[in-house]
Amino acid sequence: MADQKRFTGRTAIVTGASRGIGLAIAGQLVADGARVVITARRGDALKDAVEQLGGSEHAIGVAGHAADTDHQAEVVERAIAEFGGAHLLVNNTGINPVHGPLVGIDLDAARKIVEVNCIAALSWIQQVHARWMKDNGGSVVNIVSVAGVKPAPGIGFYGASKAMLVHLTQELAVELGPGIRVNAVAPAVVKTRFAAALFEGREDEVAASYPLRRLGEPADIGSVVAFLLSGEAAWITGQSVVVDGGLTLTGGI
Amino acid sequence: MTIRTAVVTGAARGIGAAVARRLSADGLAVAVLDLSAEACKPVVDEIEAAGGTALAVGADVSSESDVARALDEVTGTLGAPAVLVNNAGILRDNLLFKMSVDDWDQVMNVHLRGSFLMTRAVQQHMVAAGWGRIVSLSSTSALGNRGQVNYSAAKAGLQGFTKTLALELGKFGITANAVAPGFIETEMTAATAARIGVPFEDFKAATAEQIPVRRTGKPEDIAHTVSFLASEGAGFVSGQVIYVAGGPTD
Repeated sequence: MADQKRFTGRTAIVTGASRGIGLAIAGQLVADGARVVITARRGDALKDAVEQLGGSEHAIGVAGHAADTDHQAEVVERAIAEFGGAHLLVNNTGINPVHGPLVGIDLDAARKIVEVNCIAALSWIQQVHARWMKDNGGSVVNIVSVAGVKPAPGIGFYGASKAMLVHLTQELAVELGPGIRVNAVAPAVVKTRFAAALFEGREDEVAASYPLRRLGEPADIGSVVAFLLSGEAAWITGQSVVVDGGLTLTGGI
Repeated sequence: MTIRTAVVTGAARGIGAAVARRLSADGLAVAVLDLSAEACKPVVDEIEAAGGTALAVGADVSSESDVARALDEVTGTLGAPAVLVNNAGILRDNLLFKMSVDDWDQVMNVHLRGSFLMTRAVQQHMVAAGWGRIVSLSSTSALGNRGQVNYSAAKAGLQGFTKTLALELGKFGITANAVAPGFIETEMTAATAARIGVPFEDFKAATAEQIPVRRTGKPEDIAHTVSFLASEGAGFVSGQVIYVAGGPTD
């Protein structure tokens, strides 16, 4: 069939996908033939995103809080009921609400970061596993960060939470193989609103420290996520692929 | 439309041949390079039969003059290389106390001197074009493997080589990455099974038991990843080692 694409007949859940990296991932998956269920807190933003993804034939938006298990269950059930399955999961939701040294971090903020970046990601996998992947197999990609691979002063606790997600990725790869593959993608600074504080007003200066002399674009992440989710990566699991224009080689983040 | 040229070393058999076929399917003209051009002929024939463009090139990658001659031939026939896959490798396994200096030197020469000579010769074309992709084959053996002190050192060496290439060449639009396969079914791993006296099927089955995806790898698994790293979509991935091993590594 001439119009058969690598994700034709597949349904993906992408969390935190109303804009930025999540939306770019959803866009890549739709371009490759998948139907996507996207989540975010705000319904109006999701509505715009669904439009950008080509409308309700290709995408459903479900508003809710990423750490809410009822929301997670609803999303998985709707993926199965309306789009025929939950073959692919991308845990993209992440928060980074604090900036500063670890010795001064508000501990409630720290707990919240772990709750959203790690516990919720695990819970999404539990939900999709119980309702679909344990019987049908599947592929999961967790979005982590170069801050989880190397120290990144100022966002140290965010990095620690992402390091936990890197390890969860490895554990789950061993536990859920051979039917389910679990990998991670670790971006450096990608030009999104989430990361604006890290580059706005000084993009050239920041980009100069990257061996490839530019910051990431959301599409740079979407293409790597799509590869890892695809059958072409059938023998890759438990891996974290750093997508950083060479930044972590230079010593700093 | 310009057709990009790829050079794949050690491409007469195994992983290299699978990579050459895959890059051809991706639309590149492919130089199939191995010690003897004659040995590359079946891969070239297969690519041409499928409608692709390929050239059989005989060269010892550890010989400076061979490399220069081979790249002149590739550039003259197919065009300047935009993609280089440093895949050529050999095994000379033995426990340290039994390993000869020759076994050490040969493994270092093919993997490290070979990748150095090939990359140094090819980079000028990539710099001139402002675009290039260098993919070198490392291995899970880089993390340590009994009986392979030479091979594991060479494969770990290629990881440092790759990271330094990424630092030096990034500003010219060139990415450098490594793919580190686990156990792949090839003539090379069949030889390992033979060396330790185990039938290859039993060897594969025992290995698969230890792998989370419960199977050993195929050359195509590696070819897919090399193809991805050579693609436009991997343009922000550089200096990385991608383990394709059916499970977590480290």
